[in-house]
Amino acid sequence: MTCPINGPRPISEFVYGGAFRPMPDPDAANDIQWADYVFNRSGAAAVKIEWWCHSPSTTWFMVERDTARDVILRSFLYSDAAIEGAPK
Amino acid sequence: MTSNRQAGANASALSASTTSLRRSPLQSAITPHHPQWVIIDGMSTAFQFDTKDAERMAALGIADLSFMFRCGLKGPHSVAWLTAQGLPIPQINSWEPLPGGGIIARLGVTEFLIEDSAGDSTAKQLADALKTRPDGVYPVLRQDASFAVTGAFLQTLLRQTCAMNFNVLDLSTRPLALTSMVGVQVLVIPSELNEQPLYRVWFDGTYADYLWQTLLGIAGEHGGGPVGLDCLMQKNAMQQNTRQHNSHHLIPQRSAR
Repeated sequence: MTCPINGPRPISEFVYGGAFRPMPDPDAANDIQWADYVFNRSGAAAVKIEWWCHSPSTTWFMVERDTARDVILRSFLYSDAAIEGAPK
Repeated sequence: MTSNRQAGANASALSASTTSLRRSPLQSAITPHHPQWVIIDGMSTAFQFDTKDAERMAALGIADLSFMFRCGLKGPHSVAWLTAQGLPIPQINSWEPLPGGGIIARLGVTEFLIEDSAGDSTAKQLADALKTRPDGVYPVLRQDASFAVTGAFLQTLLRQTCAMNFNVLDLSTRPLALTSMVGVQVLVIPSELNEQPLYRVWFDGTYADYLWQTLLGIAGEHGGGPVGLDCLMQKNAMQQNTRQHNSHHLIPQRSAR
């Protein structure tokens, strides 16, 4: 896997942090929307944005990965612009 | 006892004192090798193991450098704060020498490690300055174990312990690598000393015994082993005389004061 800061490293140096899921506005969301965000996960294979951490440097970053083929499409540091339009 | 006094006298240039206030994370692993000790900056450090230190260092020597004082900081304003302190800001994943002989290493976008060499007090001054908790700058406790590895079989050791090719790094850019070594997360700065590779390694002190024993096992297979600070400083002094490279920033200088 390629860390955006440290470059290509063996997969043993990385920790999976879960799929990226936009958080609903806590003040505006109703209980159903909030419970869905807190408890529910989609296990369907797809191209997903995920959090990963390069553990020796504790660099958290995002990976776009096709979970059906386990192929990493790109990795990048988090920013609103970088994830805009990304698959949810 | 006499040899210990001599060791202390030889290292007097390194601000030796008589009281050990700090304990190296590697001390319990080193003690069974019965080195001559010297106290530097409040920490007992192996000064010489025996008359074969130089021989082992030529093959694959490992020297404890945990005594070198260091401090860390991170946060969104860390670059601006360090600049205001008059320090150079390295590129990400590289390091710069400090005028007093220490180094500043950039471990990411906003995280830094500053380490003093003998006769330098930059890290100590920064640690004091960080106590005022500047806005957007957060102190990072650095109680690392640290050693230097050098010798003809260094690349052999790295190939066995790291899943990273250090040979592709350009030493002229002063690179550093955050990676893992036999499962331990380490910070590595590669350099050269007298045309031999010399790598500095920092890591969490709780892994000190495991990493020391593991590397020593590999070193022993190649005729290497533990080496004292004296041997490393002598080699460093030779290099300074021939004005090669700048890795003297990574190990203590023999006549710093």
